Amino acid sequence: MGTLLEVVDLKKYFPVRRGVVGYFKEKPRYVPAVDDVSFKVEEGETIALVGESGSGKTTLGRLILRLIEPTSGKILFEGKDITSLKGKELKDVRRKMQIVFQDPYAALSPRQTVRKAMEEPLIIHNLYEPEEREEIIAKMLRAVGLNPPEFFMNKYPHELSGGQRQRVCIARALILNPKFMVMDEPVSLLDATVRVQILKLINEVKDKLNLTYIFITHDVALGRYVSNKMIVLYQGRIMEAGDTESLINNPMHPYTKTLISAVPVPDPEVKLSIPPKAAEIEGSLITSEGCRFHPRCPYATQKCRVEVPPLELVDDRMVACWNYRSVKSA
Amino acid sequence: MAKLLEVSNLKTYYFTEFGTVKAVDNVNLNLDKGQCLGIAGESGCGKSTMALSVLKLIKPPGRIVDGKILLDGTDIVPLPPKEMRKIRWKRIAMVFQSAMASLNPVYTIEKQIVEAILTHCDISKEQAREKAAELLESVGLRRSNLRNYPHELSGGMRQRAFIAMALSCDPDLLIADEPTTALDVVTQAQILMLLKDLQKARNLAIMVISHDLSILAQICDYLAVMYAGKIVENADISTIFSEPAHPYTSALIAAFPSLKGKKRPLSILPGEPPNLANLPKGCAFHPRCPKALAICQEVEPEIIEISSGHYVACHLYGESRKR
Repeated sequence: MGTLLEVVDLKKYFPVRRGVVGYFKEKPRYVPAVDDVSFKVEEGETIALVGESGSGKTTLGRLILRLIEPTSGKILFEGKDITSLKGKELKDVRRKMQIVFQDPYAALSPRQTVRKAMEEPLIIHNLYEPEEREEIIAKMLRAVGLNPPEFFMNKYPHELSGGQRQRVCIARALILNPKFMVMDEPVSLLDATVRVQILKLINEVKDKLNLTYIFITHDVALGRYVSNKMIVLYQGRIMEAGDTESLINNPMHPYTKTLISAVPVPDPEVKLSIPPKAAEIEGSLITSEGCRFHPRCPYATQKCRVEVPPLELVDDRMVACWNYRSVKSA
Repeated sequence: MAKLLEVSNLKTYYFTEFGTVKAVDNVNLNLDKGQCLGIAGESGCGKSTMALSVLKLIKPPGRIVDGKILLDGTDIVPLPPKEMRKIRWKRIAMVFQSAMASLNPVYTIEKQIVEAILTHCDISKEQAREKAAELLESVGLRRSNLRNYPHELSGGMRQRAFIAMALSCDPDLLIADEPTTALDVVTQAQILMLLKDLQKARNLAIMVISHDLSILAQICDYLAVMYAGKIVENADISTIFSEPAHPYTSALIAAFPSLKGKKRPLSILPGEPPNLANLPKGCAFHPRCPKALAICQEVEPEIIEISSGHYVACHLYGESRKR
């Protein structure tokens, strides 16, 4: 076991301009979608990236795969800096890093049969002899539970159900024999009973093929079931990171606390209660100074409004909060 | 308690070129004043059709084929469109999943709420404006939000504004179809708490439709579980969760991860929900059911009362078991 992936001070700022006139005249303002994010992923781990919409979790996933370019910072994969790789070198790394998207309806071309969709990555990376490919595709389809493979190979996406489509997407990502996968909300559009099937599949192939995952989700309860470590993001910054169970049972950051208290429990005896002031803020543009969470934070002090709290190691946890002690005792 | 809504033997079918889709098939439901009823089920189980049927908003090729919908004892199924219009919004209002799509982007919130009030209630424009302001305050927004256009509000605020609009004519029944699905988790919790508060403060009956059992567990007093157009189980919320009788209900409950307590494994139910145009013979759930009996493949189970107020449609219970 070693470190498979390391992200160092990664930043992605998206420019925003208002309207057509603004496009030419105004100086662009920036939205820090990912701001100074650093973490490591050990081989065989599953890290859950959790946060609300706009927290930068998807942007972070895409940055890691070099699907978008970072503003600054470094991405190391297997010890090698891949931040500015180009051409063939980048292609070789991409073979080892794959992604499964949220929407299996959008991720598959409606004009390609399952066979075509699965064959394409093999053609791009020039893997196997053409006559061998059919067999490899069949093997992969079987591995994701699409049996018999001959039945599914000639189907178009519209002939498949949502769960089957997501299985095809997973098979397509696995066919290149990757080491690392980004799962970007892979089950959030699926029905409850189908969702559990896909989660099981995701866990099974991980063990079988010795994979490492980053699992992006807005659902903390779901994150608990798939990950051993959890990173909580808010407006592009890491608020808290640590061992999943410990983080859920004993959250230190006020945002993590709010997030966890807001998750409905499938049990009528346990009622929801969320801290006051947790409300979303009007026109919630990102605060330029201090802690990102201070406008919604029940523990905010003057210091929080001015100074950005560093991400510090506290016990078994990384926390970015000036007042984590008073939060913990509350 | 006074019965507000009584749905009996309701059948709503869609007549499509692929065959008849029995989206709601022989459904019975009761809802008392001031109570909250949840309808749970996966996509395509007919839960939204159920809601639209109560408002009589089913469009062709769909049609209410049979059954009664009694609102305070009056059957609304045979009512002509003109009469129905007086019931919608004034007696039954609805909140949809996407508040952005439900609000008109080119009018202010005030204009939309005032328009709704003036269309359905006989009061002056000034009174309507004042009422709109009060409504916004009752859902946790500010008076000043009246002047906003929908795009100026966040997702949660829009949903609040839409709930205010739905309440503008003091309905007895609010139907909420996936009211929080498009929202973030903290916002979702706030909207759920708001619905619960409104239910108590206004003695409002609410029918919540959702695929998410954990949401329904939080706000409902009663829960009906639908599968393939039929209600398979119906009971008060704590009975459903503590003693689920139908194998589908148990499987559905076990499919939701929880943050509380020890991590328990999620149970896997094989297969997928059936196509409503081509249902299996017998009980529609039998191909996926871990406890299926021989009879399940042949005979459709009737819904029976297994204990007071607990209804189940399954051969594991009642008469057919003894046979």
